[in-house]
Amino acid sequence: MTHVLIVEDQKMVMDSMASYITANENYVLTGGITNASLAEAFCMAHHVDLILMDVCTEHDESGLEAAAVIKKHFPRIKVIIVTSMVECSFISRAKEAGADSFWYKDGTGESFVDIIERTMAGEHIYPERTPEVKLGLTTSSHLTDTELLVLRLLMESANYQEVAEKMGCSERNVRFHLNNMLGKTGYRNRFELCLAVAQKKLIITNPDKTIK
Amino acid sequence: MNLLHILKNMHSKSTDENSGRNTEFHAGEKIFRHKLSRKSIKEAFDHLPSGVCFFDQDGSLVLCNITMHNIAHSLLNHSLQYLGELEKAIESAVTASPNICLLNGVSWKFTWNEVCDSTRQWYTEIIATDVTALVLRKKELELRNQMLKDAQLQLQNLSANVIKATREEELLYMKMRVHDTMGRSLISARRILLEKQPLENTTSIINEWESAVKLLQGAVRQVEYTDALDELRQAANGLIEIELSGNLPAQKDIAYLIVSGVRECATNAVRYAKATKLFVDIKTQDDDNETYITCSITNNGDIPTPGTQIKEGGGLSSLRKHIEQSGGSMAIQQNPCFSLNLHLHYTKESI
Repeated sequence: MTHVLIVEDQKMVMDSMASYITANENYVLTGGITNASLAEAFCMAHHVDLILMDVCTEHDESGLEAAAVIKKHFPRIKVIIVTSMVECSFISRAKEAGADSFWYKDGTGESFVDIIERTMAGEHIYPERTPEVKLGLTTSSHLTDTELLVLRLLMESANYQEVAEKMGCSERNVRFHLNNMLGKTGYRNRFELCLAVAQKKLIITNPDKTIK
Repeated sequence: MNLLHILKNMHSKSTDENSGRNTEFHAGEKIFRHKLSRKSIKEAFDHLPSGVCFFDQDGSLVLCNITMHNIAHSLLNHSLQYLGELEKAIESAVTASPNICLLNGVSWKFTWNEVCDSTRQWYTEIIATDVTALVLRKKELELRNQMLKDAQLQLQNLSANVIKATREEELLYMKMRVHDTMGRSLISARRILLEKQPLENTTSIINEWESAVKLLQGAVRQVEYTDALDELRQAANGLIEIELSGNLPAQKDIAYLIVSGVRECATNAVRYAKATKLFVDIKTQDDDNETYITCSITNNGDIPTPGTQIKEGGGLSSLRKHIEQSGGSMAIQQNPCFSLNLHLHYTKESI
């Protein structure tokens, strides 16, 4: 019998995942919590085999940080990261945290159950890449990792000098990458580009409380 | 080589004209042959775009061009005579930028130099340069920078709203799924009844209907918490007993920081000290505008071995950063026993 903890701040989403769990006789729902930072204490107090972990939870607590803590202290517990945000850094951060699998919420119920069963069988299931979003004349998959990093830092910082310092490169380099992105997307300036990226949720600045 | 020196050199060159030497100037394709005289030097000096004047050691005016004469007149309302009156007038007319005065729509930047001539006489040279274009450009850039900062803030607010919007989209998506499921079940049930199909065909419809109803009822038991500490107690049910002395502050963010400290201490106390009880002591002090909170968290577990250095792991480091960001401080004490001490404060308006 697999004991499941759901970490999700939206009640209806939690109930939807719970309905799949309780419909299967091999699984039992141990509990549901809305704040990812409580996952460690919950696992110390209860028997848990699998955690379905949302990324952005109550009080902006990070499901990715919580996943890293769980995998450190409870390596036997399987963690599946569950999110509906197409934020481009989530997949790599989930892998760094040691999460066993990753699932986008707008997948079908059948694929959700399939991912749970395959993860419990020892597989690691991750999407090949973040879902593609249209950005002007191009799509997000045509932006390089460096360009996405420059874009993220430009959305967080007011000026090129700060971005250059954080990347350990020159301002000229930063502008070069920005001009490349403007050329690919067809946006007129940095703010049009950043606005489009924010609206498409490709990059969300400080989506969780993780101190960077 | 300073301006006075050049002028004096030009003057001495002009005296060479008496010996018949001429100075040639080229302007475009025309070649002018001029004889330098005192008058022509003064004319050139007067037509400099910058204002220039010289004062001797006593502060008396020695030489002044027309541009500086007009500038001084705007500042003093009379002709320039002494260094002191000019310096005083510049000081009182200066704008936000140092040594820059706005006179009749023109921004003049004043610079001081001490110069000496070939006879070792020292003079104070004051030059006024028209920096109107630079000042305007600087204002434009400041305005643009402010606009960029405002746009940056709007972008950050948008990011915060995007998370909220995503949550609402998730909820809407779930509601639509439930709605579609129930609608589909109703249509299928109606068809089965109208066509008088066997009851076995209703199994999948009934299952779908049951799932939808469960979702509406809530598959997971809804637990009500009084506060974040209560939520922690519920999650860590039976793990460790938390005894609270004092009250959590009314300011929710500060209260949450304290509960975060309690949570970190609870898991560490159980894991490393085999503790069964956690003691949380909160003291509050008020003054006119601020409330100061001191929180001390200890446990009944094993005392750390003398000489052992407690390393701040990810949880405590993250807590420290959040507490320091809020203007508070955190300290870990090991002797005589482990204690986490938090000092926080908040203004009454922030409640």
